[in-house]
Amino acid sequence: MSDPLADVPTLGAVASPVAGLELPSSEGIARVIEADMTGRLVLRTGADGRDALMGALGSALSGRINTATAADGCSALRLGPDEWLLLAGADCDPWLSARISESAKGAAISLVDVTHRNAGIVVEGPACEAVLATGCPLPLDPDAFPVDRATRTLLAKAEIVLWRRAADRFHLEVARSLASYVVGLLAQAIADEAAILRSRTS
Amino acid sequence: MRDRIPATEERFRLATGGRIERTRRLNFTFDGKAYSGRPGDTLASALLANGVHLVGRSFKYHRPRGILAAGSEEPNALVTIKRDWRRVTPNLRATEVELYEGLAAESQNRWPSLERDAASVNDRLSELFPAGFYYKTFMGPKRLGRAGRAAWKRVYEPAIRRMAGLGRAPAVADPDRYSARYAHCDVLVAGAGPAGLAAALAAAEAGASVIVADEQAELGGSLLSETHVAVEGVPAWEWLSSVLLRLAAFERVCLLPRTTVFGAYPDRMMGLVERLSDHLEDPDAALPRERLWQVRAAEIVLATGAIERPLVFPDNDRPGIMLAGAVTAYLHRYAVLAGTTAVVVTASDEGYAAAVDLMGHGVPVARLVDVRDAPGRAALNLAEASGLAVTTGAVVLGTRGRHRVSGIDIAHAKSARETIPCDVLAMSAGRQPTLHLFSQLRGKLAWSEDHQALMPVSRLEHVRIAGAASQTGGTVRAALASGHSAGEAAARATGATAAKPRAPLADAGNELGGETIGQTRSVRIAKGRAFVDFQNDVTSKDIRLATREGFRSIEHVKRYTTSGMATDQGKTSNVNALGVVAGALDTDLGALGHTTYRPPFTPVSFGALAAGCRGDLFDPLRLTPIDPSARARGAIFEAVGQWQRARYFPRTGEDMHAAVARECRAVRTSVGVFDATTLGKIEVVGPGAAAFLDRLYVNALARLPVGRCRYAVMLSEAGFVMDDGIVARLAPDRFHVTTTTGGAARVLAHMEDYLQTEFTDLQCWLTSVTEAWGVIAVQGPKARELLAPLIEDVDLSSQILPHMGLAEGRIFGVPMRLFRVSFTGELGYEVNVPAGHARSVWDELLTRAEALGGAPYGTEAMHVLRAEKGYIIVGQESDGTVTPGDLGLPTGASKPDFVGKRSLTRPDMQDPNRLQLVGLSCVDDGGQLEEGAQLTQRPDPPPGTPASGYVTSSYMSPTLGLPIALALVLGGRTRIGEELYSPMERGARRVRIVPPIFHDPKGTLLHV
Repeated sequence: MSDPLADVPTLGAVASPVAGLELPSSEGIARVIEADMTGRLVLRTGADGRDALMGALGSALSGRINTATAADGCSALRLGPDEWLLLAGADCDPWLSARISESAKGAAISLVDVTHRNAGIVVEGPACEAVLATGCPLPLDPDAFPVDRATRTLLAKAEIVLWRRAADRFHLEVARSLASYVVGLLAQAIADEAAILRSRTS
Repeated sequence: MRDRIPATEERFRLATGGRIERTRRLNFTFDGKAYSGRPGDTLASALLANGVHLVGRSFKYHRPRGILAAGSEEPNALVTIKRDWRRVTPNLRATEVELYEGLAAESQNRWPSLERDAASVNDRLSELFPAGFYYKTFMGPKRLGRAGRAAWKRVYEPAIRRMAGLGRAPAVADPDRYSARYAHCDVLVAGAGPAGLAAALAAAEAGASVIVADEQAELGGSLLSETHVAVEGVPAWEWLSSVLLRLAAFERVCLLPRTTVFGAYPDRMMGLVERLSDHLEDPDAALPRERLWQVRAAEIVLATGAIERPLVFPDNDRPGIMLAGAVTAYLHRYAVLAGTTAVVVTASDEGYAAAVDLMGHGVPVARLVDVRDAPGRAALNLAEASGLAVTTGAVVLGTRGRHRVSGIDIAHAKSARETIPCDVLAMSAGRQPTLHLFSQLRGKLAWSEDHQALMPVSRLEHVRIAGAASQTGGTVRAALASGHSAGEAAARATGATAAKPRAPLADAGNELGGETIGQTRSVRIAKGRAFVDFQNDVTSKDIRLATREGFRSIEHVKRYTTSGMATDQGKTSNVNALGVVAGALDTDLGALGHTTYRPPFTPVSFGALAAGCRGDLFDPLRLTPIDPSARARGAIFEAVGQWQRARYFPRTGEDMHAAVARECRAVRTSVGVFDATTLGKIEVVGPGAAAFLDRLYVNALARLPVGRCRYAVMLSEAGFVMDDGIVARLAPDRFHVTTTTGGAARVLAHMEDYLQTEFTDLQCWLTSVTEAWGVIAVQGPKARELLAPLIEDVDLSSQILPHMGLAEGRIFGVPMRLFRVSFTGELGYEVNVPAGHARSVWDELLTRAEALGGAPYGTEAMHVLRAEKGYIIVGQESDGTVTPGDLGLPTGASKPDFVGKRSLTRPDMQDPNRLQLVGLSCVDDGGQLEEGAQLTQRPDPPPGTPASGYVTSSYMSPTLGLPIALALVLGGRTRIGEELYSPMERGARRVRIVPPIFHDPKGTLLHV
């Protein structure tokens, strides 16, 4: 059994925590799809670190707390005074992490790769606010929660990061083991909303 | 059943009028008998339309009861609705149940039938059920002695409990779904009567977002029974339709009929329950039955109206005796006559209006009996103009009739006893503003002599009261005006700036002023029982008895007599109870205070409160990425918090014991593979990270070299063991810290707390990475042989990667953090890979491990293996009162400080006779000890003997072939070799104290 390394398979495919879940969809209400995200980093740093990272991330870190700001190849969700969740899309710069570490130079930062920690879930459709309001205690109307507002909150018993991408589209980041719970909640909420709407119009 | 012709044809329905839909007939049954009603009816109005007044039996005396009210305050008319065999709802108020085709209702608290109820004998034995009956009875009579009291408890008490109570609790699980919704608004309006609608309109026109909720099926409140008044120059109903259309046109207005605002919670979080399907004949199976709304309202307008009070006179509870306002509501809203000959008994001008209304619809009013000596002029003028016979200064001596009132006996100046026949008796003692929500919001109420009611005496920020809830005897005009100004002010308070709305104006109307409202104190009692609380069968006599037995506080009287403690929470009785107590004690009513209003306003189903939290969605079920592979292998799982962990992997024919023994042997002789993904993981990064961890853990971590791990224990401030784990240093400023599975969230919060409040001089950050990594423990003598060929960039030799060393590299090409740690006592590694790769790495490792004679193992084998080594589990060997010294762990003596150190210096924490961790071996051959069993000096200690300790862990050790146990024993470490007993039901077990390590005490296997 002491075969050389060459005989050992290289594992490529990443198992998505959303794969295998039945994603709900209801015409005229909302649907749930898996988010198209490939990388996640948690960046923590103070004012000095923020200045140092201008080179790597431009003005992405100067967005207000609880907003998302687009940067080169990623979106920076500012979740606290010194905390950003960097979400990299499919066209993400694979060297983002290295680029940030490099430009931090001497400044104190904490950069932790949490790519595999979360599942990304998108809820979209005309009733997406109502669907999320079944479990999220925040006001979600566009005045209170405009596009690119992003915050840590709750969906029933699950901690989530909620990011509004468009008037009728939200992105949810959830811990991967909670993905099936969150999808289950959303499926139930979508079914309930659809039934209530039907009962109103019938 | 639906095709059967109803026995009665709504004989008491007027030919015209009402808000019911006349073109459609709805068939329903009550106690199996067929009736018909109309869309728009409640069960109560439909029963009355058919002349049915007897609808239930009372709680204690089983007295015949009818329909008292027309709204949610109804105390008597409680029914069970059977939709199908799984959907049986007891104790619904017939006045709120909306009629639908095929509705099947049943009366309650009667056997064998409503008309002939065996237990109505209770009524004649009422002397046996005095106030405080339960307290007196369930103590059990002293003379019975011990055996007698036991029989009392077994026989009489259950019998009494079966007798008492109203409907039967459902026997099967609720098949319906319940939904939930959070909402936010500028202005929440509770109640959609004239005041609520005016408030909503004003707030909406000012630009605010508004939610209007009303418990009734139709919005409109008192306007729904209002046919006299014109608003804005049109009849009230016409105005109502137009205003609802106007409100519905606002995008930011949400109208919620069938929605009760049942509770007020801190910071104006309001609880609402919306009934979605109970009123439908054949609801969509997917439609939730109810929806719980949690509404955060910036401003609140309480337009909750007022509840009419009954008069307390002898035999005031017969079917056909109704509130005057209810009689007029049935008349106007449902076009139903409550009877053919009426008597009105009143202490309020409202009774006059009701009498005149009845006369106007052809119901002769035999007499208006006013208990007041000098009614107001306006009332008397109205009576005179209508030809209404009035007797003032009357005393009600009693009523007649069995299943329906047939007459009233009164005494007055001209006659000592006069009997007036009637089949409906309308009564009115004025109204009590509905201030439940105001009181729940911490508003203060006090008795007002002017209003003869409990009125608000404090102002609440962001809360306004409007309409009949804010004033007694008000008119529609006053309600509209106060609602309008409350609504506009509420909207302005939220910053709404739209143009000034105009107030709707009602005509002054032919309404009676309310300046003379009934005096509940001047109730004069003749013979017979006068009911105060109809639902709990509490009479004025009971209340007076309570005061004679020494009860003074209204809260005590309430609990002793149970007045106001039924499901209606005393909506129609609380003020009368106050009046009776004040009379009995001869005190001012205002001095008594009042009982507390508590949520919910009306009963709320458990389903609504649980909302979506049932079944799979009751609580998140957290599965590791390796879970599908473990399931495919037939693993048996156990819940560890929200996580599911594989407990053992039985092969065909194996029980748990056999599987665990085999798994343990695989680890000790070959290699075992274990899913440790659920361990909490925190990445601590920053220049202050080392100092931070050094302050938080007992162990010295400041100078932990890069590339090394250390077992570390965390204490609470009180010095007790809180959590443990491995601290691994990846870089000078980067640590990978593990916690227990159950402690992950608590430890992270504890760390954040200290970082943000105490150790602000340190610069570092905490990131939870529990779910970022899948963790596979590879343990056993062949662990290195298994891993070495699979790993890149890491030399596994002990010289390079010794016990407690760490390395980063790749396994199967996947990035890996490799810790050489052991929780089994064998050569061991923990392979951390990104969670998305964990399952495929597990599968590959397992195939190769099995080829080496290894096996997967679960948490049960893990527990046995660690116990053989004497490794503790936090929460098993510790219970929140255990110090590291007690467990024989390092106590940090050489460290200047860490969280909990100060507490460890307290004398009792250093007492040599504390409970200390030891091992136990069994001297007898009775097998495994019981976990949690007490340990004593003697085999048969007399009761009260303090224990010498207790068993914390107990297993059959496959390695030793003997039972082993860990225990906490007083001064245990100095008592090695002593024998103790574990007294059990089947005789005492004999054990010997041994060191808490049963396998490889020198630890040589860890370092191979």
